[in-house]
Amino acid sequence: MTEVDTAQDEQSPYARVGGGAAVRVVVDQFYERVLGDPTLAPYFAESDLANLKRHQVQLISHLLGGPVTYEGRELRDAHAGLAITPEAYARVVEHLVGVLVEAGVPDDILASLGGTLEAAQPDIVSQQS
Amino acid sequence: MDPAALKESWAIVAKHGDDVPLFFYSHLFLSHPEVRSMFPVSMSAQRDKLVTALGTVVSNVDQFDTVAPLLGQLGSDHRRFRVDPDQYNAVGGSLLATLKHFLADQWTDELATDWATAYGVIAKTMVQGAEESAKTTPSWWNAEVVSAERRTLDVAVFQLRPEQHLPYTPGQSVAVEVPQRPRLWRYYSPANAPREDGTIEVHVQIVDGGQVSSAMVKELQVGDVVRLSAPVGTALTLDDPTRNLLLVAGGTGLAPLKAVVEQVDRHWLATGRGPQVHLFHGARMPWNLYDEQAMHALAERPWFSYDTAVSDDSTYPGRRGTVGEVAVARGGWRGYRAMVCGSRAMIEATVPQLAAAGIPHEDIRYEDFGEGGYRPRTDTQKDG
Repeated sequence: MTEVDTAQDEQSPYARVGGGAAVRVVVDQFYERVLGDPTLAPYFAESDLANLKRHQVQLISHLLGGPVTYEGRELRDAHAGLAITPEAYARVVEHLVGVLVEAGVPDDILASLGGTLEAAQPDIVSQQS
Repeated sequence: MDPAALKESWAIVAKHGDDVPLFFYSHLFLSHPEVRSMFPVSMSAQRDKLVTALGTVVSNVDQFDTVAPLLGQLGSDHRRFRVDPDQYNAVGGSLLATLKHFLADQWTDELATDWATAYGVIAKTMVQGAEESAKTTPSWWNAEVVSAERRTLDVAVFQLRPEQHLPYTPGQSVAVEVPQRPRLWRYYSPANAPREDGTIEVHVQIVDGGQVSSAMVKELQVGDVVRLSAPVGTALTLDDPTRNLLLVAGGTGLAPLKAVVEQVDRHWLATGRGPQVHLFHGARMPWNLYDEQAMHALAERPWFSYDTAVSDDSTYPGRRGTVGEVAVARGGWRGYRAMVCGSRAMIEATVPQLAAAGIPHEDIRYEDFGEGGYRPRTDTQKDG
């Protein structure tokens, strides 16, 4: 037990979840769920999905300490004008939890992604709603 | 509020088994990452605790009046985890998201309202319990280890000195957190009646796979500072000081019973009166009878006798067998009150033996190890 924990601590979160391939699988599943949700699909009506997924994989890989650069827009710019409600945001978090749970992502990585998400929430959710 | 709907919906969710706490904690840590640090590093033992208890309590909100005092106490007890009201909101949000996730199409607006209302009632009661106790008691007591004595292969005896007065009744338990295993709390019973200097004796036995008990026995040192919770438990406290007592201890289950004996002794020294007390201490091997010296010293009292039982050593010159068998074989327990403390297996074996020997059920006291309940436990439990 202790030995396993120590070994894990020495790896980056990116390596521990299984690297780029694992992140791509999770991102694919995530968008499958989000686009299959009638309350969320309209937000993506105008999106270039392939590009969106590519940027999402880069962003998550980067956050997990992977050797990847995020080439997308600032989150505030990317979500500007979409009028994302707090309810829609909560729904997306639910889908995200669903795919991360299925992927078996460890608690400490969840909490660290959660920290980033919390910081980004004001940039994503529309203030006027 | 529709109590039947709450119960039915919880039953549906509960069928998903381990997936429920997994989703719940993942949602909680993703949406409120600051909460992660309040839980143990390893979540394996924690997994089913919080969400299962919550689902059960909230869905039984129609029996609120019977559990309200317990909830207040639970809220008070959670002060040692440094829980603040905001975190009740975080937990409530993740509970509702979890229900919604597993109920899918069956999650309706009415159900959402009912669950939110019921959770609100429970959370309010816990927070109020915490606020009430905060007026009179600290969230936890820091205590310095002033003596650490390894008695056997797997048993150590510690003397702890709380920085502030920690009032308790012999037979109760306090939860202990040691610096070697942060955020993992285990219940131990003070093995002494309250002393002038406030020190508390604690008996710790390594249990299989027990990361806390083994850290305590092997690593806890003089000078270390541990945290103690408020005392809990009524099963092994003395409510009638005139009743004769049959005390049956397995391993470090001796601790609360030794405290009770000391309490009787204080009373006897002060008044010259007191009940007859017989204590049986059982162990697998003779060297596990780790407190013989203190027991033999007490056995000079005219009202006290101490007997041992060894189950796994066929060469033992004293009484052989389980401690329950040996106690029953001695006989003459009419009118006695029995108190039993030890591992779960020991209690499950001993209580029926005493009952079969004619001691009425209401006169057999032991800590209830019932599944899922919030109960103080002795150090003999497996602590994952």
